[in-house]
Amino acid sequence: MTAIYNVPADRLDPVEDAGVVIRSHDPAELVECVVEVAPERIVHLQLLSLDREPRILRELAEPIPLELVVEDVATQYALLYRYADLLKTRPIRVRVPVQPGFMKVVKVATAVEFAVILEAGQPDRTTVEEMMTMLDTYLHQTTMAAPVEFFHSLLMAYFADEPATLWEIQDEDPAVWRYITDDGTVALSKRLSLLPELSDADSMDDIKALVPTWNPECVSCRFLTRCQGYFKLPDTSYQCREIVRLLRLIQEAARDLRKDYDASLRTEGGRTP
Amino acid sequence: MNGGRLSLILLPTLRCNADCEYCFENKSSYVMSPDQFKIILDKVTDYMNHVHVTDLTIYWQGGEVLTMEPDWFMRAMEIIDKSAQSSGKNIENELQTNLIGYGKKWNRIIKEMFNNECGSSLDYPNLYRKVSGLPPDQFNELWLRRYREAASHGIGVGVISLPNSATFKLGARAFYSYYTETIGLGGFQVNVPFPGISVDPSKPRLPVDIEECSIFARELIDVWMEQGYSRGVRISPYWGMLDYFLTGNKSDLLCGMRHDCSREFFSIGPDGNVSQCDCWVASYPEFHFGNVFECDSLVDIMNSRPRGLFSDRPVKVMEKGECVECEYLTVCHGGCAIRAYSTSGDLFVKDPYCEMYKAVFKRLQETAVRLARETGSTRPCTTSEVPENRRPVAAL
Repeated sequence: MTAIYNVPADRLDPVEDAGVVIRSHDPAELVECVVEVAPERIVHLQLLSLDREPRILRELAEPIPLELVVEDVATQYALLYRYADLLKTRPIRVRVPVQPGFMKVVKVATAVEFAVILEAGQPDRTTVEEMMTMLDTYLHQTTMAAPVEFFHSLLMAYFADEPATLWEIQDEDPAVWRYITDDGTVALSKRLSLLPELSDADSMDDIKALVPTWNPECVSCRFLTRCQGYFKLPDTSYQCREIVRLLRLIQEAARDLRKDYDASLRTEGGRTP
Repeated sequence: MNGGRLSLILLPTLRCNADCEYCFENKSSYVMSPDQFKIILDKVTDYMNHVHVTDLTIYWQGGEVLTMEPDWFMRAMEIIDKSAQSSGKNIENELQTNLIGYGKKWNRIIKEMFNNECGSSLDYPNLYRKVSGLPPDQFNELWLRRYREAASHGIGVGVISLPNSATFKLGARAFYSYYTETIGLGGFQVNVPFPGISVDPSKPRLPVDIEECSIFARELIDVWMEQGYSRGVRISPYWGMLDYFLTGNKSDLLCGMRHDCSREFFSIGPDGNVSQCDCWVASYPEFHFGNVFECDSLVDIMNSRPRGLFSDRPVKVMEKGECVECEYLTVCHGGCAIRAYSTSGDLFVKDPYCEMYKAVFKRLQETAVRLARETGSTRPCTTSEVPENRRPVAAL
């Protein structure tokens, strides 16, 4: 797959031919820089501050996807409404840090039908409890229609029995994603760049080879093929007991869904998917 | 990228031939001229270019539109056709009338401009709708004569009903029967009343009791499901809500329950004043965005501070916290601004009918589950079935 660079709006020059995610705190800067890049190269625009006036984004003529980055879940959840009408002209996703109270952001985002990607970090027990509640809402509340990552893609991967790792789902596959820091340094994704021994990694195989050295717990973990050490960074001593409960729930939900789906096909006359 | 729809609630006059007790509009005899309409349409299409919108629906309301002359509308049709050709916009027209002024002279206009359809209003029992000097029951008799004449010319008439205390006393079954059997309608819409500007401070702030209204609504849903749903009878807004719970389609939800109400809808009065919807134009000058005849561009008006209050309303309502916890946030978003303001004097509070709508949503959600089980239509949604603009960014 072609490399995709997450790049500050004022540092587009070094990545002339690659796919780009252009990031800025200023909506006007995003609108201005779009004209300098071929639209097909722009994977999405990333707005880092939600408290700026977003009106100028309505002047974006191309249907380029937009990602809104939430910094503070306690104060910014309601601001998502200011961006809701932009969904008529482009896909929108909200990147939500998993901090206490993050569910409010997810609820508002999904209510206006924005896709969501959770930045889970290494959640403690209390935060995992909130993630479990969120997962239950995602799985069972009929008014929830927008995808919440990583729940959604992991559920569908289990459902379809397709390979997918959390690194891929979370846009952090080292074979694809590069992050150009504000001072111009090229790094792997934010999470991977936290371990020096990964500075030369450029494939999932490189990560797979290192996972057993991070924590022996991973070797026997039933979720290794999906997680590949994702939750062991940056603190490799992180204990996964709580997060494993969450992954198990997703796996079980996919199994139930598969069972119901197969049963519905049988009642419809034996058609296969 | 172009897309989306803009909805203009146009009030070419506030003149009216009825004298309804609960009307919230400040009446005036002023009628917009065709030349003024052209100025408005030019500025609206310029604004549509600015925000990359291709489709416009003009909801013709009043006052009472049929107190004007058909020639006025013939001229308006010419203006609209020319504007659509030169701007490349799709322009549709919808008519709302009390039908009192309807006669054969309107048939051509209704057919050519409004696709032989119109919306009207009729309450049962009628306590408040009146033609000046006549009791309410004679309004219904006159309305029925006009309705039958319009129907005989193939005109489809949609009906909005506002329940009142007598409606609750009568019960949902008799109410349903009146519209579908006595009149013979294939559907109707049930709205809820709000006090408007002339609320009597000695009376309760809401014209109806919320609990009574909730019970009535749930009963009406049950009667509809029992007698009409499978025969194709549509009761709005319940039909749109049920469709949402069955399919996820939100296009038939009420305007005031959309998160983008303030972006999609705006209203212009006969004197050019612009605001959120007809109620705000006709009753609350302090919430006017500006005057389209006094401004070079509608863009400036739409960027005005009063309009910002409306677009920021969901933000302010959500910050209070209560709505965020609600399961039905995605089909309500804090509800209707005019109902909130006219009841409480505060734009940034939730809809006063919150508890009624929660009860309605719950009943329709349960109904949807039952229907889906009966028809076996539910099935899991795979990633490829998520609509393109709802997929995760990385999946595009």
